Amino acid sequence: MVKREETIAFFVEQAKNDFSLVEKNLAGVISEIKNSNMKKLNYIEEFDAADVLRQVAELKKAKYKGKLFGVPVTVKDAICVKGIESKAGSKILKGYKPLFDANVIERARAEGAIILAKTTQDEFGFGTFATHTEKVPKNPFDNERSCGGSSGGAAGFTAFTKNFHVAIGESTGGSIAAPASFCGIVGITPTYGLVSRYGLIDYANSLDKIGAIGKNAEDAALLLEVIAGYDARDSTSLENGFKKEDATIKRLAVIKDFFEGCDEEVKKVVQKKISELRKFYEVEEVSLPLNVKYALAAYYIIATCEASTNLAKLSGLRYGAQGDVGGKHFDEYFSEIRSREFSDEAKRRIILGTFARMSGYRDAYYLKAMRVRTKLINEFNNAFKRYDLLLNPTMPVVAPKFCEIEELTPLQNFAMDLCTVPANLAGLPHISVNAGFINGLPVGLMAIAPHLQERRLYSFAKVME
Amino acid sequence: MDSKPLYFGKIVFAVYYKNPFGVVLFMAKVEVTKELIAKVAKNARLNLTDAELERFVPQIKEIIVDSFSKLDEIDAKEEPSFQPVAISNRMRKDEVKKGITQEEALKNASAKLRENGYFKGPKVMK
Repeated sequence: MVKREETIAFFVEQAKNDFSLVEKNLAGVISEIKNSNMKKLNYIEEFDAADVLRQVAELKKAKYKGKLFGVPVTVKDAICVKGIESKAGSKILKGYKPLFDANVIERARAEGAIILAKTTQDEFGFGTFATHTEKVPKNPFDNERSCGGSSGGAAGFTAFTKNFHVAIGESTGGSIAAPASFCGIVGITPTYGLVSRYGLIDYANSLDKIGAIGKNAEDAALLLEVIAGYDARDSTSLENGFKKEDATIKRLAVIKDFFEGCDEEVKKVVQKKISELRKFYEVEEVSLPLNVKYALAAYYIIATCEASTNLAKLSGLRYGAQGDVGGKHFDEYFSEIRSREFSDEAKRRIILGTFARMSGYRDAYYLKAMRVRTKLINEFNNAFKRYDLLLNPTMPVVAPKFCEIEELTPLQNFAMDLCTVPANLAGLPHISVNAGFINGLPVGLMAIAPHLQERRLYSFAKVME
Repeated sequence: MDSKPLYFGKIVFAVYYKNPFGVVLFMAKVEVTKELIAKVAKNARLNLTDAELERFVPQIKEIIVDSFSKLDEIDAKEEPSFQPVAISNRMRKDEVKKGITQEEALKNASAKLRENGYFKGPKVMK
């Protein structure tokens, strides 16, 4: 049960009348940043104290006191913040300071948020454990273990802080839900197109969704409502926003196929939580055989294809890592910078995506994956004719140790996304909420709603809490 | 069932056959070799070292063969979903808006790759 005094909404209400609360809370969060940096927990990629002080001075004078008045907000590194290094966890964008704020940053600032720091992530979001980057965030429950990825720093810091704070994350195939599960907090990934991608350093355009991470569902929901909305600068931005009517939930269904690949202990914790939910809802079982079989393959084809075209623009000119062009031909220069600055994971995904788009293979892989995606969306939509929400364990395991992750092949790594990928591929809104613990390590339960039914997720998560 | 492999150089490109229902299915059957990966990497402007090639080839092979090629099993005639939700073209007025200044545009370029207010790039002609 979340106490009202623990919510951001309560803090904002108090802070509007007493600015010292903003200063006190901020000082607390800043000392936590310093403390976590000293311990090398690696949640924070970039923190500019002078920039934060300037924001506080402005906020003090502000006439309009918004929904996030005085709330420190951390931002996944892939989201552009004006004047603050934004490199999506990569080496190739080192030194890049955007000339503009992403739409979500503009919206958060307009509601009085303090844009505090950038959080660590897998390079370009390429990963499930936030290990594909230089600064690897460590799980606050056990520093030998992963925070989950790719929004690892965001979830790690949200679990670490004792103060009022929310984090803006981003999910392509599960990058909000996975770290939320491993760090025992709440992550909401909205419907594709609900939140503008303007200013997001993209991974895969048809999959990327900026979302919200908080200590509880109310905090995450509040942040999501602030950052959501139509933006003409994103051609896939939805004009009408989420459905505001009827968030009543009667019937839930557990996606039984998604349990099959899960660890026995994880299954038990999730099933126990679900049996408690029977007090509030009718709970049945549903099978999504096509999603369980084909979603991962379709997802990784689409994601790598789109990533390989997006990363084609990174060539060592105009911004980020640069070299000496000397008398070099452009092919030679671009190849030199790209080969030097991309990590193994980025190179593998670029190769996979380039392969799947090559003439001769395009129809068999890329186009086929897009057709299969239609089938998979239809399978979900059919299930939603009978059920208001669908449930599954967020991750098949608890946060693994770094030494265990090293043993995984890239394909085994991809397979960890089994439960999060289908909803992401279908652009469906979903939430991960803590369902319990195994030996002190959090286990997440994921609920998936039909497109634009984010409100059902909030109402469900409140019952869970 | 008649099946016929098509060969493109060293790469087995595709095997298509007629199934009992008379529908032609395309089975992408790819032989993932060092040569293929090196060629793809070159297209993507990546120079791979021998060590990288040795590492990547089995990893990529596993992904293509065990994961990507799973889609060969399923027949999909549906329209492709290039986005997961329906979106439509939106027109806007052709109005002049203020953009960034030349000075701002050059801010992120290194001193070596900037000259007289322009970006400096590599040679385009061989």
